[in-house]
Amino acid sequence: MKQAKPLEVKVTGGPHVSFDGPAPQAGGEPRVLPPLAAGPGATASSRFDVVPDPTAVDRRVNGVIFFRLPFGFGRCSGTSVNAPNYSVVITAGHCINSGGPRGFWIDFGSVFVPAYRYGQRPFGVFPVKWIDTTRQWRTSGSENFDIGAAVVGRNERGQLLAKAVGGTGIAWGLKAAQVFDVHGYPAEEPFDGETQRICSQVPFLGHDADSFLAPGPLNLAVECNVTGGASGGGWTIRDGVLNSVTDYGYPDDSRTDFGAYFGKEAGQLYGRAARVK
Amino acid sequence: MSSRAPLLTLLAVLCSLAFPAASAAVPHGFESRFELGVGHGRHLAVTGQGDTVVVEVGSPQSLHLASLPDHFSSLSLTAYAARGTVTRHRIAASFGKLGSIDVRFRPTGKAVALPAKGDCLGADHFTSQSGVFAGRIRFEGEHRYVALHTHRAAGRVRSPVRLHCFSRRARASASERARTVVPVPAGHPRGFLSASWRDALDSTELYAERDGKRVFTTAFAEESLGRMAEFHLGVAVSGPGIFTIDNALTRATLAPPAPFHGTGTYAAGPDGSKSWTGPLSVSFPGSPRWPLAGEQFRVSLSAGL
Repeated sequence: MKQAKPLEVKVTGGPHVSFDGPAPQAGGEPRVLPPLAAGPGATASSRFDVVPDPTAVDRRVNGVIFFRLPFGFGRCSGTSVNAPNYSVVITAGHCINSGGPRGFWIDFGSVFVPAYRYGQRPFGVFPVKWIDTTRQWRTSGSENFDIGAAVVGRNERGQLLAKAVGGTGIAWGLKAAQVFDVHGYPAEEPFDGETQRICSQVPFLGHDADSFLAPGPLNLAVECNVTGGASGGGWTIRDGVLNSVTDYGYPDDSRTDFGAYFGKEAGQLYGRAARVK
Repeated sequence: MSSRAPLLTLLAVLCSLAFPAASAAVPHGFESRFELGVGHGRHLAVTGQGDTVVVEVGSPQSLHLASLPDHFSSLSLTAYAARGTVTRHRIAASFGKLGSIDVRFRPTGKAVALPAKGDCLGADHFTSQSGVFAGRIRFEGEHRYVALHTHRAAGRVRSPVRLHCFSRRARASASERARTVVPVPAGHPRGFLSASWRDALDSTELYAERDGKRVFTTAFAEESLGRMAEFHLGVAVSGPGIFTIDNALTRATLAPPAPFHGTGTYAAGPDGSKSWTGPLSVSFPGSPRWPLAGEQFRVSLSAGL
């Protein structure tokens, strides 16, 4: 993150903050848990357009996860999700653990900065205090399960994450064919990671063929021009319900973005994170 | 977002086709498999593992990638993968318009242990139960290049899915190789060409590697077709003359033997532009003349490594 002075934003007329969804349960049946702040609809675009105001009520739930690595700094995107502890961030599994039986945890001073822009942190910095992934991501490294979760502590002002910025809903077990808003902070060219981006109302294209060769639910493809740094960025449906995250793309086709299907494993992961005190 | 290198993808998928779903499978699982002749020198193999069922069509040799002899010269196969039900007693999956498999396994005789050679980490043998798969086996390839309607096939259920074993001889020779520099024959330096394109869910990759004495040419293509994915693999091993590279790395030609056809031409301009053109193609089972050159390909060439 750039050494820029944080921009203090006084938020007025923010969302009503309370956990009004049903109690999180592990996996099982398809579930849709509601968001704290529902966003307006958007026009279709697969260009990863700049979000003019990342502090807007329906955009501030998206942010950047910054972390240290033994060989430098890293970054991913993440989403604040509605939960009883008001502190859950959902991201990609590989932003939390490198995956597979020899994977290592990425737990080197990670922080979540919602609504990040040009080095500014309008809602402060939330230190990560708990991380987890789907069990299958850790044991197999299969991209069909590349989903991660973090629980963050209070920011410098003593606020809980979802009370400061709200939280998306989350759904799992739905049909794959949805229309998504893809959010994230792509940092590699042609982007610079300094602005929040969105591909609006992009439809499900199909499954990656490679996805068929690994166990688990088939992953999802949409048309969205993402690059590195967008990993973990949320894919929302129905005005703010998280239903996938950006996982990977191919270097010879920058137009297509792949994300893990949110099945019961995603529900179980969310349930574990939501129960953390 | 993590990017996936085409070569790594190719290697992963080659391994996956040889051992479907093995790359992420539970090591203590099992694999059910049967194979049938379907005419024209081709076999059809059905493999069930985890929640994946794969139908492979090709020459008998092509369907056993893991045990190819050192002197093999070519292979070509097409594989279809779908989610399905795989238990020790059943394989079931739908391949849409191409057909469906729904068979139950009836063991015959006793299970046998197949010991591995060399030193193993963990299990040191497979346990294989032979038997008959009975039920519905209906599969027709595109344009009926293969058509199979039957009710029985001999096969086996084997566990675990894979072993982690190392040949003592291979390890010793690897150690020897580490101390020996193998000279590259004059006139045929090492060279490597890759050409690939991807459009959303479909992709084609071509690799040609010259190691001095031989050229390995590999083409791999994949298509995602809704609830099913289709994979194609073609390999040819030939003499070094089919892959020529000029010293300046501005021009190269590749004309591999069957299952490939035609010639691909690489050209690099002084402005850094590259082109990969020509009538080069490959014949996969069910997909003859699959194009391997054209403007849509990203190409790179290296030599002398």
